[in-house]
Amino acid sequence: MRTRCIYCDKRFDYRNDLIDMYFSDDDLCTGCRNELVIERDKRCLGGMEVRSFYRYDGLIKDLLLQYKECFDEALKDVFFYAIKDEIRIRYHGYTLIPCPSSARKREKRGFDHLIKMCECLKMPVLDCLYMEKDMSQVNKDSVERRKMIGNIRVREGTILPLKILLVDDVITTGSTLSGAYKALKRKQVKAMTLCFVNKDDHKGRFKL
Amino acid sequence: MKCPRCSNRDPDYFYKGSKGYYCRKCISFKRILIKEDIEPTAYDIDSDGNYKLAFELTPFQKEIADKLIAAVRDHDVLLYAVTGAGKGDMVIPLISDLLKRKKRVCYAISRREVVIELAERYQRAFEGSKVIKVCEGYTDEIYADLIVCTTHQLYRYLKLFDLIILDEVDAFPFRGDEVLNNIALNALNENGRIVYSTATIDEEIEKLMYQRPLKILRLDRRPHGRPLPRPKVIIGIDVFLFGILIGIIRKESKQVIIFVESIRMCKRLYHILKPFFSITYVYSSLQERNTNIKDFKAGIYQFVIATSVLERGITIEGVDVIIYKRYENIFNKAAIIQMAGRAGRSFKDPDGRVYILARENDEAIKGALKEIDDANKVYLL
Repeated sequence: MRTRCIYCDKRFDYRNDLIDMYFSDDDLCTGCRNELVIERDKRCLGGMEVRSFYRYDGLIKDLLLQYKECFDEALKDVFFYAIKDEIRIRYHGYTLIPCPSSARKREKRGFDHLIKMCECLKMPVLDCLYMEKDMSQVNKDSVERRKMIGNIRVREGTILPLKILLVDDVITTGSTLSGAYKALKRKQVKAMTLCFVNKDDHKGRFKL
Repeated sequence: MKCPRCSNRDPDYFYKGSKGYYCRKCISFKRILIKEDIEPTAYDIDSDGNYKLAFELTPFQKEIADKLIAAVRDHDVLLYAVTGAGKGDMVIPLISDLLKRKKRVCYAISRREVVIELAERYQRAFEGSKVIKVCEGYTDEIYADLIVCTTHQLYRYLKLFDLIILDEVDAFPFRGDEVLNNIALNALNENGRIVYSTATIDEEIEKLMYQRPLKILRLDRRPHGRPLPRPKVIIGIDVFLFGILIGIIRKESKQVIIFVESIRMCKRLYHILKPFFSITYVYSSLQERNTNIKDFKAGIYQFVIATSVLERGITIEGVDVIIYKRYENIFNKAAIIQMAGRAGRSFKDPDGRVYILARENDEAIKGALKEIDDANKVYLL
Protein backbone atom coordinates (compact mmCIF):
# COMPACT_ATOMS: atom_id res chain seq x y z
CA MET A 1 0.00 0.00 0.00
CA ARG A 2 1.11 3.52 -0.67
CA THR A 3 2.44 5.15 2.47
CA ARG A 4 4.01 8.44 1.40
CA CYS A 5 3.39 11.06 -1.26
CA ILE A 6 5.91 10.47 -3.99
CA TYR A 7 6.77 14.15 -4.30
CA CYS A 8 6.36 15.97 -0.97
CA ASP A 9 7.14 12.91 1.16
CA LYS A 10 4.21 13.50 3.50
CA ARG A 11 2.54 10.45 5.01
CA PHE A 12 -0.92 9.73 3.62
CA ASP A 13 -3.69 10.50 6.03
CA TYR A 14 -6.34 7.81 5.67
CA ARG A 15 -8.25 8.61 8.84
CA ASN A 16 -11.35 9.95 7.17
CA ASP A 17 -11.14 8.50 3.70
CA LEU A 18 -11.49 4.74 3.40
CA ILE A 19 -12.39 4.91 -0.30
CA ASP A 20 -9.13 6.70 -0.92
CA MET A 21 -7.29 4.04 1.05
CA TYR A 22 -8.64 1.05 -0.87
CA PHE A 23 -9.41 2.26 -4.38
CA SER A 24 -7.11 5.14 -5.24
CA ASP A 25 -3.68 4.42 -6.64
CA ASP A 26 -2.53 7.97 -7.11
CA ASP A 27 1.08 8.44 -6.08
CA LEU A 28 0.58 12.09 -5.19
CA CYS A 29 -1.14 13.26 -2.03
CA THR A 30 -4.32 15.33 -2.27
CA GLY A 31 -2.45 18.53 -1.52
CA CYS A 32 0.02 18.07 -4.37
CA ARG A 33 -2.67 16.82 -6.73
CA ASN A 34 -4.77 19.92 -6.10
CA GLU A 35 -1.79 22.11 -6.88
CA LEU A 36 -1.58 20.64 -10.38
CA VAL A 37 -4.17 22.85 -12.04
CA ILE A 38 -5.89 21.20 -14.98
CA GLU A 39 -6.42 23.79 -17.68
CA ARG A 40 -7.39 22.42 -21.07
CA ASP A 41 -6.22 24.29 -24.12
CA LYS A 42 -6.48 23.60 -27.84
CA ARG A 43 -4.30 25.20 -30.46
CA CYS A 44 -3.64 24.77 -34.12
CA LEU A 45 -0.13 24.11 -35.38
CA GLY A 46 0.25 24.00 -39.16
CA GLY A 47 -3.06 22.18 -39.65
CA MET A 48 -2.59 19.85 -36.72
CA GLU A 49 -4.74 19.98 -33.62
CA VAL A 50 -2.71 20.16 -30.39
CA ARG A 51 -4.30 19.74 -26.99
CA SER A 52 -2.72 20.54 -23.66
CA PHE A 53 -3.96 19.66 -20.20
CA TYR A 54 -2.06 21.54 -17.52
CA ARG A 55 -1.18 25.12 -16.76
CA TYR A 56 2.59 25.48 -16.96
CA ASP A 57 3.57 26.80 -13.55
CA GLY A 58 4.57 25.77 -10.07
CA LEU A 59 4.35 22.10 -9.36
CA ILE A 60 4.28 20.71 -12.89
CA LYS A 61 7.54 22.52 -13.63
CA ASP A 62 9.17 21.02 -10.55
CA LEU A 63 7.83 17.56 -11.29
CA LEU A 64 9.08 17.63 -14.87
CA LEU A 65 12.46 18.90 -13.73
CA GLN A 66 12.80 16.14 -11.17
CA TYR A 67 11.63 13.52 -13.68
CA LYS A 68 13.72 14.60 -16.64
CA GLU A 69 16.82 16.20 -15.16
CA CYS A 70 17.19 14.33 -11.86
CA PHE A 71 16.24 11.06 -13.60
CA ASP A 72 13.56 10.20 -11.07
CA GLU A 73 11.80 7.36 -12.86
CA ALA A 74 9.31 6.81 -10.05
CA LEU A 75 7.34 9.87 -11.14
CA LYS A 76 6.36 8.34 -14.48
CA ASP A 77 2.67 7.74 -13.70
CA VAL A 78 2.01 11.04 -12.01
CA PHE A 79 1.55 13.18 -15.11
CA PHE A 80 -1.25 11.37 -16.93
CA TYR A 81 -2.98 9.96 -13.86
CA ALA A 82 -5.76 12.54 -13.55
CA ILE A 83 -6.48 12.74 -17.30
CA LYS A 84 -6.00 9.09 -18.14
CA ASP A 85 -9.63 8.24 -18.84
CA GLU A 86 -10.25 11.40 -20.80
CA ILE A 87 -7.35 10.66 -23.14
CA ARG A 88 -8.35 7.02 -23.58
CA ILE A 89 -11.86 8.02 -24.62
CA ARG A 90 -10.98 11.02 -26.75
CA TYR A 91 -8.22 9.27 -28.66
CA HIS A 92 -9.75 5.81 -28.89
CA GLY A 93 -8.12 3.83 -31.68
CA TYR A 94 -5.12 6.09 -31.98
CA THR A 95 -1.52 4.98 -31.79
CA LEU A 96 0.82 7.08 -29.65
CA ILE A 97 4.05 8.24 -31.23
CA PRO A 98 6.36 9.99 -28.76
CA CYS A 99 8.44 12.89 -30.05
CA PRO A 100 12.12 11.99 -30.21
CA SER A 101 14.49 13.11 -27.48
CA SER A 102 18.23 13.48 -27.58
CA ALA A 103 19.89 10.05 -27.76
CA ARG A 104 22.73 11.12 -25.51
CA LYS A 105 20.33 12.13 -22.79
CA ARG A 106 18.27 8.99 -23.18
CA GLU A 107 21.36 6.88 -22.68
CA LYS A 108 22.29 8.86 -19.58
CA ARG A 109 18.82 8.50 -18.13
CA GLY A 110 18.52 4.83 -18.98
CA PHE A 111 14.90 5.26 -20.07
CA ASP A 112 12.86 7.23 -22.58
CA HIS A 113 10.84 9.62 -20.49
CA LEU A 114 7.87 9.92 -22.90
CA ILE A 115 7.44 6.18 -23.44
CA LYS A 116 7.56 5.59 -19.67
CA MET A 117 4.99 8.32 -19.17
CA CYS A 118 2.64 6.80 -21.76
CA GLU A 119 2.79 3.34 -20.18
CA CYS A 120 0.02 4.11 -17.72
CA LEU A 121 -2.38 5.05 -20.55
CA LYS A 122 -2.39 1.42 -21.79
CA MET A 123 -2.60 2.51 -25.43
CA PRO A 124 -0.42 1.20 -28.27
CA VAL A 125 2.89 3.06 -28.48
CA LEU A 126 5.10 3.16 -31.57
CA ASP A 127 8.59 4.54 -31.14
CA CYS A 128 9.52 5.28 -34.74
CA LEU A 129 10.96 8.79 -34.82
CA TYR A 130 14.60 9.73 -34.38
CA MET A 131 16.80 12.78 -34.70
CA GLU A 132 19.23 12.82 -37.58
CA LYS A 133 21.61 15.09 -35.71
CA ASP A 134 21.62 14.77 -31.95
CA MET A 135 20.36 18.02 -30.50
CA SER A 136 19.41 19.17 -27.05
CA GLN A 137 17.04 22.12 -26.80
CA VAL A 138 17.92 23.21 -23.31
CA ASN A 139 18.76 26.92 -23.10
CA LYS A 140 18.36 27.49 -26.84
CA ASP A 141 16.54 30.40 -28.41
CA SER A 142 13.74 30.09 -30.95
CA VAL A 143 16.03 30.41 -34.01
CA GLU A 144 18.15 27.46 -32.89
CA ARG A 145 15.11 25.46 -31.94
CA ARG A 146 13.63 25.91 -35.39
CA LYS A 147 16.52 23.90 -36.85
CA MET A 148 14.75 20.91 -35.34
CA ILE A 149 12.04 21.04 -38.02
CA GLY A 150 14.18 19.41 -40.69
CA ASN A 151 16.02 17.18 -38.27
CA ILE A 152 13.45 14.48 -37.53
CA ARG A 153 13.16 11.27 -39.54
CA VAL A 154 10.99 8.14 -39.50
CA ARG A 155 12.83 4.85 -39.04
CA GLU A 156 13.04 2.90 -42.27
CA GLY A 157 10.66 0.00 -42.66
CA THR A 158 8.08 1.39 -40.26
CA ILE A 159 4.46 0.78 -41.17
CA LEU A 160 2.59 3.80 -39.91
CA PRO A 161 -0.89 3.31 -38.48
CA LEU A 162 -3.88 5.28 -39.77
CA LYS A 163 -4.62 7.30 -36.66
CA ILE A 164 -1.59 8.92 -35.15
CA LEU A 165 -1.33 10.84 -31.88
CA LEU A 166 1.96 12.64 -31.33
CA VAL A 167 2.95 13.05 -27.67
CA ASP A 168 5.27 15.62 -26.16
CA ASP A 169 5.75 16.80 -22.60
CA VAL A 170 6.21 20.55 -22.97
CA ILE A 171 5.81 22.71 -26.07
CA THR A 172 7.72 25.96 -26.27
CA THR A 173 8.00 26.94 -29.92
CA GLY A 174 6.42 23.85 -31.47
CA SER A 175 9.50 23.06 -33.58
CA THR A 176 9.84 19.44 -32.55
CA LEU A 177 6.17 18.82 -33.09
CA SER A 178 6.05 20.40 -36.53
CA GLY A 179 9.24 18.55 -37.44
CA ALA A 180 7.61 15.27 -36.47
CA TYR A 181 4.46 16.20 -38.39
CA LYS A 182 6.49 16.94 -41.48
CA ALA A 183 8.42 13.70 -41.20
CA LEU A 184 5.29 11.57 -40.86
CA LYS A 185 3.82 13.00 -44.11
CA ARG A 186 0.29 12.18 -43.04
CA LYS A 187 -2.74 14.40 -42.78
CA GLN A 188 -4.64 12.63 -40.04
CA VAL A 189 -2.30 13.43 -37.21
CA LYS A 190 -3.29 14.87 -33.85
CA ALA A 191 -1.05 15.81 -30.99
CA MET A 192 -1.24 16.16 -27.25
CA THR A 193 1.07 17.66 -24.68
CA LEU A 194 1.12 18.23 -20.96
CA CYS A 195 1.40 22.00 -21.24
CA PHE A 196 2.25 24.97 -23.44
CA VAL A 197 4.95 27.26 -22.17
CA ASN A 198 4.11 30.51 -23.95
CA LYS A 199 0.82 32.32 -23.67
CA ASP A 200 -1.81 32.29 -26.37
CA ASP A 201 -1.45 35.06 -28.95
CA HIS A 202 -5.22 35.70 -29.22
CA LYS A 203 -5.61 33.76 -32.44
CA GLY A 204 -4.89 30.43 -30.83
CA ARG A 205 -1.92 29.91 -33.10
CA PHE A 206 1.79 29.65 -32.72
CA LYS A 207 3.94 32.14 -34.53
CA LEU A 208 5.86 29.96 -36.92
CA MET B 1 20.94 -1.39 0.99
CA LYS B 2 22.48 1.94 1.79
CA CYS B 3 22.59 5.09 -0.26
CA PRO B 4 26.21 6.09 -0.87
CA ARG B 5 25.34 9.76 -0.69
CA CYS B 6 22.78 10.25 2.09
CA SER B 7 23.31 6.99 4.04
CA ASN B 8 19.58 6.25 3.89
CA ARG B 9 18.60 2.69 4.81
CA ASP B 10 14.82 3.02 4.80
CA PRO B 11 13.49 0.55 2.16
CA ASP B 12 10.51 2.84 1.44
CA TYR B 13 12.81 5.25 -0.33
CA PHE B 14 14.45 2.83 -2.76
CA TYR B 15 12.95 2.50 -6.21
CA LYS B 16 13.91 0.07 -8.94
CA GLY B 17 14.41 1.93 -12.18
CA SER B 18 15.75 0.85 -15.56
CA LYS B 19 19.34 1.11 -14.41
CA GLY B 20 18.85 -0.55 -11.02
CA TYR B 21 17.90 0.58 -7.53
CA TYR B 22 18.32 4.21 -6.61
CA CYS B 23 17.63 6.34 -3.54
CA ARG B 24 14.70 8.72 -3.65
CA LYS B 25 15.43 10.48 -0.40
CA CYS B 26 18.16 12.61 -1.92
CA ILE B 27 16.71 12.60 -5.44
CA SER B 28 16.71 16.39 -5.67
CA PHE B 29 20.49 16.14 -6.01
CA LYS B 30 20.16 13.95 -9.12
CA ARG B 31 19.79 10.17 -9.22
CA ILE B 32 22.48 8.10 -7.59
CA LEU B 33 22.46 4.34 -8.09
CA ILE B 34 23.10 2.08 -5.14
CA LYS B 35 25.68 0.01 -6.99
CA GLU B 36 27.37 3.03 -8.54
CA ASP B 37 31.07 3.14 -7.71
CA ILE B 38 32.07 6.67 -6.98
CA GLU B 39 35.69 7.47 -7.28
CA PRO B 40 36.60 10.76 -5.69
CA THR B 41 38.07 13.21 -8.14
CA ALA B 42 41.47 13.81 -6.67
CA TYR B 43 42.75 17.32 -7.13
CA ASP B 44 46.03 18.74 -5.96
CA ILE B 45 46.52 21.61 -3.60
CA ASP B 46 48.74 24.21 -5.13
CA SER B 47 49.03 26.64 -2.26
CA ASP B 48 51.59 27.71 0.34
CA GLY B 49 48.87 28.26 2.93
CA ASN B 50 50.17 31.63 4.03
CA TYR B 51 47.61 34.13 5.15
CA LYS B 52 47.51 37.83 5.84
CA LEU B 53 44.86 39.51 7.97
CA ALA B 54 43.93 43.17 7.87
CA PHE B 55 43.81 43.16 11.68
CA GLU B 56 45.28 41.11 14.50
CA LEU B 57 43.28 38.42 16.22
CA THR B 58 42.56 39.22 19.88
CA PRO B 59 44.23 37.02 22.53
CA PHE B 60 40.98 35.18 23.16
CA GLN B 61 40.47 34.49 19.48
CA LYS B 62 44.07 33.35 19.18
CA GLU B 63 43.62 30.97 22.07
CA ILE B 64 40.55 29.43 20.47
CA ALA B 65 42.29 29.23 17.10
CA ASP B 66 45.24 27.34 18.64
CA LYS B 67 42.90 25.02 20.48
CA LEU B 68 41.05 24.38 17.23
CA ILE B 69 44.20 23.31 15.40
CA ALA B 70 45.11 20.93 18.22
CA ALA B 71 41.60 19.54 18.63
CA VAL B 72 40.95 18.86 14.95
CA ARG B 73 43.83 16.36 14.81
CA ASP B 74 41.86 13.76 16.71
CA HIS B 75 38.28 15.02 17.21
CA ASP B 76 35.44 16.72 15.51
CA VAL B 77 34.80 20.14 16.98
CA LEU B 78 31.75 22.23 17.84
CA LEU B 79 32.73 25.89 17.91
CA TYR B 80 30.17 27.67 20.03
CA ALA B 81 30.67 31.41 19.97
CA VAL B 82 28.36 34.42 20.30
CA THR B 83 27.26 36.30 17.19
CA GLY B 84 29.96 38.66 15.99
CA ALA B 85 32.72 36.84 17.87
CA GLY B 86 34.59 36.44 14.60
CA LYS B 87 34.05 32.75 13.88
CA GLY B 88 34.94 33.35 10.26
CA ASP B 89 38.34 34.78 11.22
CA MET B 90 39.15 32.29 13.94
CA VAL B 91 39.20 29.38 11.51
CA ILE B 92 41.70 31.07 9.18
CA PRO B 93 44.80 29.76 11.07
CA LEU B 94 43.24 26.29 10.98
CA ILE B 95 42.65 26.45 7.23
CA SER B 96 46.18 27.72 6.73
CA ASP B 97 47.59 24.85 8.81
CA LEU B 98 45.77 22.28 6.67
CA LEU B 99 46.67 23.93 3.38
CA LYS B 100 50.32 23.84 4.40
CA ARG B 101 49.99 20.11 4.90
CA LYS B 102 48.37 19.89 1.41
CA LYS B 103 44.99 18.78 2.73
CA ARG B 104 41.66 19.55 1.12
CA VAL B 105 39.48 22.03 2.96
CA CYS B 106 35.93 23.19 2.41
CA TYR B 107 33.91 25.90 4.12
CA ALA B 108 30.16 25.27 3.89
CA ILE B 109 27.34 27.54 4.99
CA SER B 110 23.61 27.60 4.34
CA ARG B 111 23.15 31.02 2.75
CA ARG B 112 24.18 31.96 -0.76
CA GLU B 113 24.75 35.65 0.08
CA VAL B 114 27.17 34.69 2.83
CA VAL B 115 29.07 32.34 0.51
CA ILE B 116 29.71 35.19 -1.92
CA GLU B 117 30.83 37.54 0.85
CA LEU B 118 33.04 34.97 2.59
CA ALA B 119 34.74 33.83 -0.59
CA GLU B 120 35.86 37.38 -1.27
CA ARG B 121 37.02 37.79 2.32
CA TYR B 122 39.07 34.59 2.25
CA GLN B 123 40.55 35.44 -1.14
CA ARG B 124 41.87 38.66 0.43
CA ALA B 125 43.29 36.70 3.38
CA PHE B 126 44.85 33.88 1.32
CA GLU B 127 46.51 35.80 -1.47
CA GLY B 128 48.72 32.96 -2.67
CA SER B 129 45.87 30.46 -2.89
CA LYS B 130 42.91 30.08 -5.13
CA VAL B 131 39.57 30.50 -3.38
CA ILE B 132 36.35 29.76 -5.25
CA LYS B 133 32.71 30.08 -4.41
CA VAL B 134 30.36 27.25 -5.35
CA CYS B 135 26.69 28.12 -5.13
CA GLU B 136 23.71 28.78 -7.35
CA GLY B 137 25.01 30.65 -10.38
CA TYR B 138 28.68 29.83 -9.74
CA THR B 139 29.09 26.16 -10.56
CA ASP B 140 31.41 26.11 -13.57
CA GLU B 141 34.51 25.61 -11.51
CA ILE B 142 34.28 23.32 -8.51
CA TYR B 143 37.84 22.44 -7.54
CA ALA B 144 40.36 24.81 -5.99
CA ASP B 145 42.66 25.15 -2.99
CA LEU B 146 39.89 26.43 -0.76
CA ILE B 147 36.25 25.86 -1.59
CA VAL B 148 33.52 28.02 -0.08
CA CYS B 149 30.11 26.57 -0.85
CA THR B 150 26.52 26.27 0.26
CA THR B 151 25.63 23.13 2.22
CA HIS B 152 23.56 21.89 -0.72
CA GLN B 153 26.54 21.89 -3.05
CA LEU B 154 28.45 19.38 -0.90
CA TYR B 155 26.77 16.60 -2.88
CA ARG B 156 29.29 17.23 -5.65
CA TYR B 157 32.19 16.10 -3.49
CA LEU B 158 31.92 12.50 -2.35
CA LYS B 159 34.63 11.18 -0.03
CA LEU B 160 36.96 14.02 -0.78
CA PHE B 161 37.69 16.46 2.03
CA ASP B 162 40.04 16.25 4.98
CA LEU B 163 38.21 19.06 6.72
CA ILE B 164 34.79 20.60 6.37
CA ILE B 165 33.89 23.69 8.34
CA LEU B 166 30.11 23.81 8.64
CA ASP B 167 29.02 27.25 9.67
CA GLU B 168 25.60 28.24 11.04
CA VAL B 169 24.43 24.70 11.65
CA ASP B 170 21.47 26.09 13.59
CA ALA B 171 20.03 27.72 10.48
CA PHE B 172 17.47 26.60 7.97
CA PRO B 173 17.87 24.49 5.81
CA PHE B 174 20.69 22.57 7.49
CA ARG B 175 19.13 22.45 10.96
CA GLY B 176 17.39 19.14 11.51
CA ASP B 177 17.83 18.03 7.91
CA GLU B 178 19.03 14.45 7.95
CA VAL B 179 19.85 14.35 4.24
CA LEU B 180 22.07 17.44 4.25
CA ASN B 181 23.82 16.27 7.38
CA ASN B 182 24.59 12.86 5.90
CA ILE B 183 25.72 14.42 2.63
CA ALA B 184 28.18 16.53 4.62
CA LEU B 185 29.46 13.47 6.46
CA ASN B 186 29.83 11.54 3.21
CA ALA B 187 31.85 14.37 1.68
CA LEU B 188 34.58 13.61 4.20
CA ASN B 189 37.25 11.05 3.43
CA GLU B 190 38.26 8.31 5.86
CA ASN B 191 40.31 10.50 8.18
CA GLY B 192 38.25 13.60 7.57
CA ARG B 193 37.24 15.93 10.37
CA ILE B 194 34.32 18.26 10.64
CA VAL B 195 34.04 21.57 12.49
CA TYR B 196 30.52 22.72 13.32
CA SER B 197 30.15 26.34 14.20
CA THR B 198 27.09 27.94 15.73
CA ALA B 199 25.83 30.72 17.97
CA THR B 200 22.92 28.88 19.54
CA ILE B 201 22.65 25.33 20.82
CA ASP B 202 19.34 23.49 20.79
CA GLU B 203 18.15 19.91 20.72
CA GLU B 204 18.85 19.47 17.00
CA ILE B 205 22.49 20.35 17.51
CA GLU B 206 22.68 18.12 20.55
CA LYS B 207 21.77 15.30 18.19
CA LEU B 208 24.92 16.00 16.18
CA MET B 209 26.96 15.37 19.31
CA TYR B 210 25.80 11.77 19.47
CA GLN B 211 26.83 11.01 15.88
CA ARG B 212 30.58 11.32 16.28
CA PRO B 213 32.72 12.29 19.26
CA LEU B 214 32.74 16.07 19.52
CA LYS B 215 34.85 18.54 21.41
CA ILE B 216 33.19 21.83 22.32
CA LEU B 217 35.07 25.12 22.24
CA ARG B 218 33.24 28.12 23.63
CA LEU B 219 33.83 31.86 23.26
CA ASP B 220 31.53 34.34 24.94
CA ARG B 221 32.88 37.69 23.92
CA ARG B 222 33.21 39.76 20.83
CA PRO B 223 36.64 40.92 19.65
CA HIS B 224 36.07 44.50 20.82
CA GLY B 225 35.25 43.22 24.31
CA ARG B 226 31.83 44.81 24.66
CA PRO B 227 28.80 42.74 25.68
CA LEU B 228 26.12 41.79 23.18
CA PRO B 229 23.50 44.48 22.74
CA ARG B 230 20.42 43.61 24.77
CA PRO B 231 17.19 44.01 22.77
CA LYS B 232 14.56 46.43 23.99
CA VAL B 233 11.17 44.78 23.75
CA ILE B 234 8.09 46.88 22.94
CA ILE B 235 4.71 45.15 23.11
CA GLY B 236 1.55 46.52 21.57
CA ILE B 237 -1.13 46.31 18.92
CA ASP B 238 -0.27 46.71 15.23
CA VAL B 239 -1.12 50.39 14.82
CA PHE B 240 0.84 51.30 17.91
CA LEU B 241 3.84 49.26 16.77
CA PHE B 242 3.80 50.95 13.38
CA GLY B 243 3.79 54.33 15.11
CA ILE B 244 6.72 53.29 17.28
CA LEU B 245 8.58 52.06 14.19
CA ILE B 246 8.15 55.42 12.46
CA GLY B 247 9.20 57.17 15.66
CA ILE B 248 12.39 55.14 15.95
CA ILE B 249 13.49 55.54 12.36
CA ARG B 250 12.79 59.28 12.36
CA LYS B 251 15.23 59.76 15.23
CA GLU B 252 17.88 57.41 13.84
CA SER B 253 21.11 58.79 12.49
CA LYS B 254 22.75 55.39 11.90
CA GLN B 255 21.93 52.75 9.32
CA VAL B 256 19.10 50.43 10.34
CA ILE B 257 18.06 46.93 9.29
CA ILE B 258 14.34 46.31 9.75
CA PHE B 259 13.52 42.61 9.86
CA VAL B 260 10.01 41.55 8.90
CA GLU B 261 8.46 38.10 8.72
CA SER B 262 7.06 37.78 5.22
CA ILE B 263 7.84 38.90 1.69
CA ARG B 264 4.40 40.48 1.49
CA MET B 265 5.04 42.54 4.58
CA CYS B 266 8.46 43.49 3.22
CA LYS B 267 7.01 44.85 -0.02
CA ARG B 268 4.14 46.61 1.71
CA LEU B 269 6.29 48.38 4.26
CA TYR B 270 8.73 49.39 1.53
CA HIS B 271 6.03 51.02 -0.54
CA ILE B 272 4.62 52.88 2.48
CA LEU B 273 7.97 54.22 3.69
CA LYS B 274 9.65 54.82 0.32
CA PRO B 275 8.40 58.42 -0.25
CA PHE B 276 9.62 59.60 3.15
CA PHE B 277 12.91 57.81 3.86
CA SER B 278 15.97 56.70 1.93
CA ILE B 279 15.06 53.03 2.02
CA THR B 280 15.56 49.79 0.11
CA TYR B 281 14.42 46.22 0.51
CA VAL B 282 15.72 42.66 0.22
CA TYR B 283 14.06 39.28 0.06
CA SER B 284 15.16 35.93 -1.29
CA SER B 285 13.29 35.91 -4.60
CA LEU B 286 14.03 39.55 -5.46
CA GLN B 287 16.17 39.74 -8.59
CA GLU B 288 18.13 42.86 -7.67
CA ARG B 289 18.81 41.71 -4.12
CA ASN B 290 22.57 41.61 -4.54
CA THR B 291 22.72 45.19 -5.81
CA ASN B 292 20.39 46.31 -3.04
CA ILE B 293 22.64 44.78 -0.39
CA LYS B 294 25.69 46.31 -2.04
CA ASP B 295 24.05 49.74 -2.16
CA PHE B 296 23.07 49.51 1.48
CA LYS B 297 26.59 48.54 2.47
CA ALA B 298 27.98 51.44 0.47
CA GLY B 299 25.74 53.77 2.46
CA ILE B 300 23.49 54.91 -0.38
CA TYR B 301 20.42 53.99 1.63
CA GLN B 302 19.94 54.54 5.34
CA PHE B 303 17.35 51.82 5.91
CA VAL B 304 16.82 48.34 4.58
CA ILE B 305 13.75 46.18 5.06
CA ALA B 306 14.72 42.53 4.98
CA THR B 307 13.22 39.12 5.50
CA SER B 308 15.42 36.48 7.12
CA VAL B 309 17.89 36.57 4.18
CA LEU B 310 20.05 39.06 6.08
CA GLU B 311 19.62 37.17 9.32
CA ARG B 312 22.95 35.38 9.39
CA GLY B 313 26.60 35.66 8.57
CA ILE B 314 26.47 39.13 7.12
CA THR B 315 28.57 41.88 8.62
CA ILE B 316 27.49 45.46 8.05
CA GLU B 317 29.36 47.97 10.12
CA GLY B 318 27.58 50.13 12.67
CA VAL B 319 23.95 49.24 12.19
CA ASP B 320 20.97 49.22 14.49
CA VAL B 321 18.36 46.51 14.25
CA ILE B 322 14.58 46.59 14.48
CA ILE B 323 12.76 43.25 14.58
CA TYR B 324 9.12 43.61 13.63
CA LYS B 325 7.51 40.43 14.93
CA ARG B 326 3.81 39.91 14.42
CA TYR B 327 3.25 36.18 14.52
CA GLU B 328 4.33 33.60 17.01
CA ASN B 329 5.99 30.87 15.03
CA ILE B 330 8.06 32.51 12.28
CA PHE B 331 10.98 34.08 14.13
CA ASN B 332 12.22 31.51 16.63
CA LYS B 333 14.76 31.94 19.40
CA ALA B 334 17.82 31.30 17.26
CA ALA B 335 16.61 33.71 14.59
CA ILE B 336 16.09 36.52 17.10
CA ILE B 337 19.55 35.98 18.61
CA GLN B 338 21.10 36.05 15.15
CA MET B 339 19.22 39.14 14.05
CA ALA B 340 20.08 40.98 17.25
CA GLY B 341 23.66 39.91 16.64
CA ARG B 342 23.85 42.05 13.49
CA ALA B 343 24.16 45.15 15.69
CA GLY B 344 27.37 46.42 17.21
CA ARG B 345 29.84 44.27 15.30
CA SER B 346 32.44 46.87 14.34
CA PHE B 347 35.31 48.22 16.40
CA LYS B 348 34.40 51.84 15.65
CA ASP B 349 30.85 51.49 16.89
CA PRO B 350 30.58 48.55 19.29
CA ASP B 351 27.28 49.60 20.87
CA GLY B 352 24.36 48.88 18.64
CA ARG B 353 20.73 49.22 19.56
CA VAL B 354 18.19 46.47 19.02
CA TYR B 355 14.44 46.86 19.24
CA ILE B 356 11.91 44.06 19.14
CA LEU B 357 8.41 45.22 18.24
CA ALA B 358 5.98 42.40 18.98
CA ARG B 359 2.35 41.66 19.61
CA GLU B 360 3.13 39.65 22.70
CA ASN B 361 6.08 38.68 24.81
CA ASP B 362 6.26 35.03 23.79
CA GLU B 363 8.62 32.14 24.49
CA ALA B 364 10.96 32.90 21.60
CA ILE B 365 11.63 36.46 22.79
CA LYS B 366 12.02 35.40 26.41
CA GLY B 367 14.39 32.57 25.44
CA ALA B 368 16.49 34.84 23.25
CA LEU B 369 16.79 37.50 25.95
CA LYS B 370 17.79 34.87 28.49
CA GLU B 371 20.49 33.48 26.23
CA ILE B 372 21.91 36.92 25.47
CA ASP B 373 21.92 37.75 29.20
CA ASP B 374 23.66 34.46 29.98
CA ALA B 375 26.39 35.12 27.44
CA ASN B 376 26.88 38.63 28.82
CA LYS B 377 27.04 37.30 32.39
CA VAL B 378 29.82 34.86 31.54
CA TYR B 379 31.65 37.73 29.96
CA LEU B 380 31.34 39.82 33.17
CA LEU B 381 32.82 37.02 35.27
